Amino acid sequence: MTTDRFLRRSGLLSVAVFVYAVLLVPIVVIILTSFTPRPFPTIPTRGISFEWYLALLENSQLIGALGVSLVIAAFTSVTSGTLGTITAFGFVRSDIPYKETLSTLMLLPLMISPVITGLALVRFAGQLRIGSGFVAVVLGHTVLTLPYVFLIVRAELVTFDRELESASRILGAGPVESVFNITLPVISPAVISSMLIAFVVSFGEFTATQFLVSSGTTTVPVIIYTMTRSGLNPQISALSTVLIGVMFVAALVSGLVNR
Amino acid sequence: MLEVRNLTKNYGDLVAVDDLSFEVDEGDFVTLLGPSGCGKSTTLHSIAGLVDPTNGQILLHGDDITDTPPNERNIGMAFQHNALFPHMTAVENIEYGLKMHGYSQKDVDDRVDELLELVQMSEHGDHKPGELSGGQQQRISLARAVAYEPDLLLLDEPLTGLDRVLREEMRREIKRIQDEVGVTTLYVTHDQEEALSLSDKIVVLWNGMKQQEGSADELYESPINEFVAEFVGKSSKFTGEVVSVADRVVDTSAGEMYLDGSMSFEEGQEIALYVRPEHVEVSPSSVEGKNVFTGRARQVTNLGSYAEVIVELANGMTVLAETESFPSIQNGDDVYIQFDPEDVIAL
Repeated sequence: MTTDRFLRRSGLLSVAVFVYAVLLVPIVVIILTSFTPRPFPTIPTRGISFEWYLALLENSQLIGALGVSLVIAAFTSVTSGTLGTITAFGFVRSDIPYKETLSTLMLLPLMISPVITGLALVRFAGQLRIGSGFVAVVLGHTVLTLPYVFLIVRAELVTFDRELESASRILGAGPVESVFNITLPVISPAVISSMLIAFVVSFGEFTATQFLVSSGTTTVPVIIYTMTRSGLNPQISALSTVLIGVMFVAALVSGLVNR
Repeated sequence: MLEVRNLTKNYGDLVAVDDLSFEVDEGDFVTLLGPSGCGKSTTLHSIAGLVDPTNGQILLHGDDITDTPPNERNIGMAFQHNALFPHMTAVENIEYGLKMHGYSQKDVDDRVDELLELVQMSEHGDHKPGELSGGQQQRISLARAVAYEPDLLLLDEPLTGLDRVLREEMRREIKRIQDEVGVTTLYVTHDQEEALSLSDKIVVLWNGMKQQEGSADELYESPINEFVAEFVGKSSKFTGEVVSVADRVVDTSAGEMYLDGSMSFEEGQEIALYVRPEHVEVSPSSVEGKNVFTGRARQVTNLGSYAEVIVELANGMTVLAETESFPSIQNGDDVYIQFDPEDVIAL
C-alpha cells in the first residue's frame, strides 16, 4: 500500500489537512490583508492594492529596520555557525567528562523563556560595557541560535565516517588539513542549513531582542510590535509579508542545500 | 622491506594483537588471514599509523616508523568501504594523494590518465563516488591508493561489500593491478579462498596471535595446529587415540585409521586427524587399500566439473569428499570411501 492510500484510508489525511490548515491559515490571512485597498487589515474582496507596500518603501524607518534585521541575522548566522560547529566538534571528538550533561546545558537557550534570556543578556551586556545596540543584539541572537547549530552539526558529525579522515591522512594530509579538505566540505550542507535556521530565528526574534535594541538598531519584529500598539493597519501586514517572504526563502534554500 | 616486531595492542583489558611478528619482502603479496576480531585489522591500522601500538615496532625499509604520523609514511591504503571522498569526482579522489605528495599539475594530470587506464575507469573520471557501482568505487579506491607510488599498499578487506561474482572479478583485478604496479602489498581478509588464491605468503591470525606463516600450499598441506587446519581449506575431522606408534595406527570412533610418515606422538595420546575432500575417494563398490570405510551418500552437490559428496559413516560422522565420477552416485546410495595414509593430517 502506498503512503498516499494509507493516509486516506485511515482518516489520517483529514488530520494532516487540519494540522496544515491551523499552521498556514493565519499566515495566509496576514498575506492577504496586506493587499487590501482599505485602511484596515481586511481580506480584500473588491480588488487588490499594492499601496501598503509602496508606503513601506517610502517609510525610511521601516526600510532601515529591514536592513538592520538582515545585517544582524547575517552576522548571527556566521558567529553562531562558527561557534556551534567548533563546539559540536569538541563534543563529538573529545573525551570530556560529563559530556552528556554539558551538551544538555548547551540547549538551555531553547528551554529558558526568551524573556529571561533577554533580561539576563541586558545585564550581561551592561557588565561588558557593550550596552544596547548592534553588538548586544548579535550577541543575544548568537546565544539563542547556538543550540540549533550545535544540534544539527553534532548529529552530522556523529554519523560522519571517520575513515574518510583516515584516508586523507594516509594520502599525505595533516590532521587539520584533513578536517578542512574533507570533513568540513562533507558536512557543509548541514552547517549551511543550520546557519540558515540561525538566520531565520534571528530575523524573526522579538522577545529577547526588544531588551537589546537601541534606537538606531530596531529590528523588523520590534517595529511591527511597536506599530501594533497604535492600532492595526495593512502596512503591518505588508511588512509581515516581507518578513515571511525572507524567512520562507531562507528555509527553501536550507532545504535545497540539504538535499 | 616491512618488518613488524612484537606488535601488541591492548584496548583496556582486551588484547587485540598479542606479540605479533612477521616480515613482508619487497614486491610480495602477503595476506593476514583470520576470523573477525582476530586482530588483523588492528595490525593493518597500526602499520598505516591510524592506531598507536601498545608495544612493539614497525620498520619500513629498515626505518622505525612506529611513531611516524600516517601522512609521512608513504603508504597507500584501500579501505573496506572504500572511503572515497563523496564530494569529489573519481579524478579528484585520485589527484588528492598526488597533490599531497607534491606532484606538479602536469605530472598529476599524466598520472591520473595512466591510473584510470590501469583500473579501466577512463570513462568514469568525472563521476562522483555516489554515481559509481560498488566494483567501480573499489577500482577508483585502488587507483587512489597506488597513485603516488607508495612503498607499501595496504588492503583492508576491500572486497567485503561486493557480491560473489563481482568479488571474484575484483580479486583477479587486484592481482593484475598489483602485478602491473609491482607494489609490495599487505592484504587483510577473513576469506581463506581470497587468501589462498592471491598470496605469496599468508600469516594466519587468531586471538591476536600468529598461528602459522607460510605459502598457501604449506598452510593447506601442513597446518601446524587444529585452528589452521580447520580455518584454511575444507576438511573432515576425526579424533582418536594413538594405538601404535610403530604401525602408525589411531583408533577413532569411525574405526582404525592409518597414518604415514614420522609420528611425533606417544601411544595413548588423543590426537586430531584431518582429511581434505579431494583426497577422499568415493566409490559405489568396494575399494582396495588402507583407511576404507563404508557409509551412505547424504548429499551430492553438483559443482560443474566435480561434485561434493557428504558421506555419513556408520557411527554417524560425516565426511566431505570431492569426486569427478558423481553421476554414478545418488543421494542415499551405500558407498565406500578411502583415503591414503599419507594424506591424513595428524595434529
